[in-house]
Amino acid sequence: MTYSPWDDIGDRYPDWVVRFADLRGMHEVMSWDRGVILLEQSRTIAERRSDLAHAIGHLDLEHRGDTFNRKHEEAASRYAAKMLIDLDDLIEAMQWSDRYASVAESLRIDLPTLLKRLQHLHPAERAAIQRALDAR
Amino acid sequence: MAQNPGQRRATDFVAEELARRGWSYADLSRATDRPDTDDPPVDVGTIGDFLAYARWPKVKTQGRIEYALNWPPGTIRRISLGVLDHPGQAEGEPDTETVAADVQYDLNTRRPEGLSDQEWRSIVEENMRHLDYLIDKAAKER
Repeated sequence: MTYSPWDDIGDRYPDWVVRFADLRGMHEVMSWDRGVILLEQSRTIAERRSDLAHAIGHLDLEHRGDTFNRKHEEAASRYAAKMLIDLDDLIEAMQWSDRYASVAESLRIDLPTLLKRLQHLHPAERAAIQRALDAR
Repeated sequence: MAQNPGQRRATDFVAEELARRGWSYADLSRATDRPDTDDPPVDVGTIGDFLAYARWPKVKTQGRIEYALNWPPGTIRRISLGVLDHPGQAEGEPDTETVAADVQYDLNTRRPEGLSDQEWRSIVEENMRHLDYLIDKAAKER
């Protein structure tokens, strides 16, 4: 079943508030003190879906209170990509198109999230994709 | 909610300043009483919770503490975010070490692709008050 960050945050973090706002160049902002996640309102639906999953990654990985660093960013992005992109869905999307932008669009995620998932595929996942593409 | 490391650092500077002045929590509370407003002084309990790392004061309360200590507005916030290293540091002159480090944040936000440390720091600084407002608004809508 396709992962929904909207359902997930409501189910697992019901005390948190998610709102759209003008973030002036930022994608998403989280305040641990206030339990608030703000998503940039001008981003596309797919981008906001990816942004919220990224924020949930920070919550699940308990990145609260540490220096906001690239290691945490990377970890949250990888986590979000894994949650958002099911292998079977990825294979199906890649069978329909060779263009990453189209694959991302069909998966309703942003391009960086797709690239992050592809970058960190397990060898078994990579082999499964290759087999599926070879069989086209 | 308990303070994060950046906030505790800012809190330590306030405690240090109180010790330097020989002030009690009650002294600080009295000094936050501004004659130009009708607002009551910051409660001693609030100050105690703040200095015990138990709570992080709202922006308005931070401003009143800064007023009492003769610190520029936003000093506590900026120290907590790693923008300032200490209360007396001139803005725009961060230490070399600070420039090299990632921005410390009690708000988590993703740095968009392609921005340098300096560009990202500028965006964060310019929008801090705006973000505070938005977060406060969203929290109240809960």
